[in-house]
Amino acid sequence: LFGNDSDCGASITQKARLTILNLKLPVVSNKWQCGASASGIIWGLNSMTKSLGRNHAAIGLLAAGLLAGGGYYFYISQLQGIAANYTDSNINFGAIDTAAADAACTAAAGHEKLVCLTGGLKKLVTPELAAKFELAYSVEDARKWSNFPPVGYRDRVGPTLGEFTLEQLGYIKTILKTAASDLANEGVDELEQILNADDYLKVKADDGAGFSSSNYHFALLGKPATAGTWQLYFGGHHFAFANTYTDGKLTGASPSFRGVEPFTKFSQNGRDNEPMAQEQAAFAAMLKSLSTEEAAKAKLAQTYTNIIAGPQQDNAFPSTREGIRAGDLPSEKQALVLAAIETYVRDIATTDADAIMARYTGELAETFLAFSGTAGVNAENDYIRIDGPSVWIEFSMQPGRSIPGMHPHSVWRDRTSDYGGNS
Amino acid sequence: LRAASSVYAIAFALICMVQLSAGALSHPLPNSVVALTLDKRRVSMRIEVPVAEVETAMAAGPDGVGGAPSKAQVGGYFARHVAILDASGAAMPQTIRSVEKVMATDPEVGKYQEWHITIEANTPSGHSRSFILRYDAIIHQIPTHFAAVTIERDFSAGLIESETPMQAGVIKFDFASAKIEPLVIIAGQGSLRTGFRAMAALGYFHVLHGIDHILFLLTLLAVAPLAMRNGRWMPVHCYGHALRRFLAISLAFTAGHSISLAAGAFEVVRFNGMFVEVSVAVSIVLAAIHAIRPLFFGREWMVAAAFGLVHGLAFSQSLAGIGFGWQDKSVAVLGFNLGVEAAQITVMAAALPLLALSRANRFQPMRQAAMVLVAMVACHWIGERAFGLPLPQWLLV
Repeated sequence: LFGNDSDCGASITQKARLTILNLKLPVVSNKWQCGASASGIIWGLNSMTKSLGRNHAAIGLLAAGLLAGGGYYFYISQLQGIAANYTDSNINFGAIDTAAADAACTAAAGHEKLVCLTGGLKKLVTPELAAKFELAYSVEDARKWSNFPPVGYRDRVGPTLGEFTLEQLGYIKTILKTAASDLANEGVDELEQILNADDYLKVKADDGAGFSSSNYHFALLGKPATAGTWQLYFGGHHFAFANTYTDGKLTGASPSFRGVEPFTKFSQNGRDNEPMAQEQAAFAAMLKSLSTEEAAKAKLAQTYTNIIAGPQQDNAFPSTREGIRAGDLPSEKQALVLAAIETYVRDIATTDADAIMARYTGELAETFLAFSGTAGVNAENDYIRIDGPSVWIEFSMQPGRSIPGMHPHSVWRDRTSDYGGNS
Repeated sequence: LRAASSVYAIAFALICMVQLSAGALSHPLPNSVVALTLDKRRVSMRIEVPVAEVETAMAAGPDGVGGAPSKAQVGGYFARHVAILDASGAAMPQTIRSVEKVMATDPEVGKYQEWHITIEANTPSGHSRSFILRYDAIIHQIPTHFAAVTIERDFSAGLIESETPMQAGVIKFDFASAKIEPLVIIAGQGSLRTGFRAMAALGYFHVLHGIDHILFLLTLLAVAPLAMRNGRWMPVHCYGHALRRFLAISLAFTAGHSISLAAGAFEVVRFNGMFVEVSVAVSIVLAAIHAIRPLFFGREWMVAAAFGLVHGLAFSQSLAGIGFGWQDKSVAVLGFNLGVEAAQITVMAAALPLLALSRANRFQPMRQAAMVLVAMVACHWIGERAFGLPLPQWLLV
C-alpha cells in the first residue's frame, strides 16, 4: 500500500499519504522514534493489505483514523479547557476607532455620557450579546476579578472583547475613556499598554494560559441610569477596573488591580509600552527620600512575595497600621506620598479623581507608609504599602511568570468605598 | 465473524483512548503542601516547600541561616515550626524521617526546586484521627505564603491513593488579626473493612489504568490458542488446547506477581524502581516478538511467572511508600493483591474473544500487526524509562 520506505529523512510523501487517510500522526520527537514508528506502521499496513485486500484495509484504516482523530480532538479539548469566548486574538486596542461613538454622544459628559454610550452600544449588538453584558447589579459578581490570565481564573463575568465587532469595540473604548482618565501612562493609556503586554506574551510565551487583548471581559453590573446603582466591570490578566455609580455619582473606583509583564519597556502593536514605570518611580522616589530613622520605622520585618489584598481577599486589611505615619514626615515627603497615591487615583476621570484626592489629602496625616525589601522597588520581593483611613495601595515586585525579569502586582483599594461601599 | 472482530477492535481502541486522556494537572502557585497520612498510632506529614521560600524564611527570621541551608538545618527548622498537638495542646513526639531536595514542575511556574520533608508524629492509639496541626513554617516570615493541608492517605477511611486528596484546610497568615491559626483536623470514623475495600479498588484500577500490565498479559494470551509448526504460529481448532494454555499463563503470572508484590511492599527486597519499570517494558517487547514468531513456545507459563515477579515489584512501588505500619500494611497488601486478581480476571474475560478470533484465518496478520504496534509502544516506554527520552505525543498518558 505505501511501499517499504521507512527512511524518515525522505518521508514527506509518506506523511502526505498518511494524512490523506486522516491518521493523526505521532509528533515524532527524535530520529529513532521516527524510524521505529514509520517502519512499524508500514509493516503493519502491508500485512493488513496482504490479508484483507485493498478495499477492506482502506475502509478499516479510514475508520481507525477517524476514531483516532476524534479521540485526539477530545483529548486536546479536555486539556486546554478554556471556554470558547476566549478567542486568543490581538484586537489592537490602541487602533480601535472611537469617532463614531464620540460623535453619537457629543452633548453629554461624565455619567450622562456613560448612560448615552451604554445605550448606544446596546442598540448595536444582538439581543444575545446584550444579555451577556447587561447583568443585574451584584457585589458577588463584582468580586469576581483576578490578576490571573483566563486559565488561572475562570469566574469572570460578561463577554470578552473578542466577542464584539470593531464598531461595538469603539463604544466600549469610549465608555472606558469616559470613566477613566486620558493622561499619559495612566487611565485608558495604561489599560491599552497592559492589554498590549498580553498580546506581547501571546507571541513570546504562549503556553495556553489565554494571554491576548481579546480575552478581557466587559460587563455592566446594573443598568446605567440617573437613578440606581451600577458598576462598570472591566478586567482580565493583570487588570481590574471597577467604577461604581449610584444615582449618577461615582461612589467607588476600587478594587483596582494593575500589573504588567514584561515590566520593562517593550514594543507591541506599533508603540513602546511601559505602563507601570511611573508608579514604580513614584514609590522609589518616596522611599529614597526617607532618612535612615524614617526608613527603619517604615520597614516591615516580614517578606512579601505578593500583595495581601488581592483578588477575593476583600477583608484582608490588617487591624493595625504598620510603618511610618505620613503626618510625622516633613511636608515635601508627604507630597511624595500623595504623588504615589495619584498614580492610582489619576487612572479615573479627572473630576472624580479630584474628589478622591481631596479626601485622601485630608486623611494624609493618619496614612501609614511601609515597605519590605529594598528602597529601589525593583528587586524580587520588594513591597510597598500605603495604608490610610480610606486609601490602601500595595505594590509587589515578583519574578516573571512567563518571561525572565521582574514584574509588579499592585492594587488600589479603599477601606470604605470598595465596590461603592456595598461590600 | 469479521464484523464481530472489528467491533471488538473498535471497543479496544476506545478503551485505549480513555486511558490516554486520563491525565491531570495540579497546584497553581508554588505554595506549600502538607500531605497527611493517618495511621493507627501515627500521623505522617509530607511537606513540600519551594526551596527559594525556605531560604528566605530561614535567612531573615530568628533562625538566621544565610545562603543555602543544609539538610540538617532544614530538618531542624521544620521540627521547630511544625507540631501535632492533642486536644489539651500537648505536642506529640515527632521524628524527621527524610529531607530531600527535588525538582518540581508546575504548569504556571515551570520547573523549580522543592524541599520535601517527611515528619512522623506518634500519637496514642485513636488520637491520630483528631488533632491540632500547629504550623508556621515559611508563613511566619512570608505572610503571603500559605500551606494547603490535605489528607492524602487515611487507611481506615478507605482513602489510599487519589488524584484529588481530601482538602483539610489552608494554613495562612490572617492579616486582620496578624496571627497564624492552627488547623484542627478531625477525620471521620473509619474501619478496617473500609480500608480493605479501598485497597482492593486501588489494586483493581492500578492494573486497569496501568496499561503496560494489561498489554503484557494480553500479548501472552494472544498466542494461547496457537501452536508452533515449522517455527511459525498455526491456529489450533481445539478449545481445550487454548483453554489449558490460557489458564497456565494466567496462573503463572498471578503466582509470580503475588510473591514479589508482598516482598516489595514489606521491603524484603530492595530494588531500583527504574530497572523494574524498564524490565516491564522489555517483557512486553519480548512477548510481542514471541507473538509474531514463536521464541519460547510451550514455556509461556515460565516467562509469565518470571515476568510476573517483575510486574509484582512494579505494583509494590505504589505500596512501599505508603507510610502505614505493618498491621495496616498487611491488610493493605492483601486487599491490593485481590484487586489485582479481579482486574486480571476482567482483562482475561475481555481477552476471551481472542480465542474465537483465532479460528479465522485472517486473524494471523491482524495479530501480527497488533503485536508490531504493541512492541513499538513498549520500545517508546523503554526509551522513556531508561533514558528519559520524551514520549511521542500520541502516547502521553
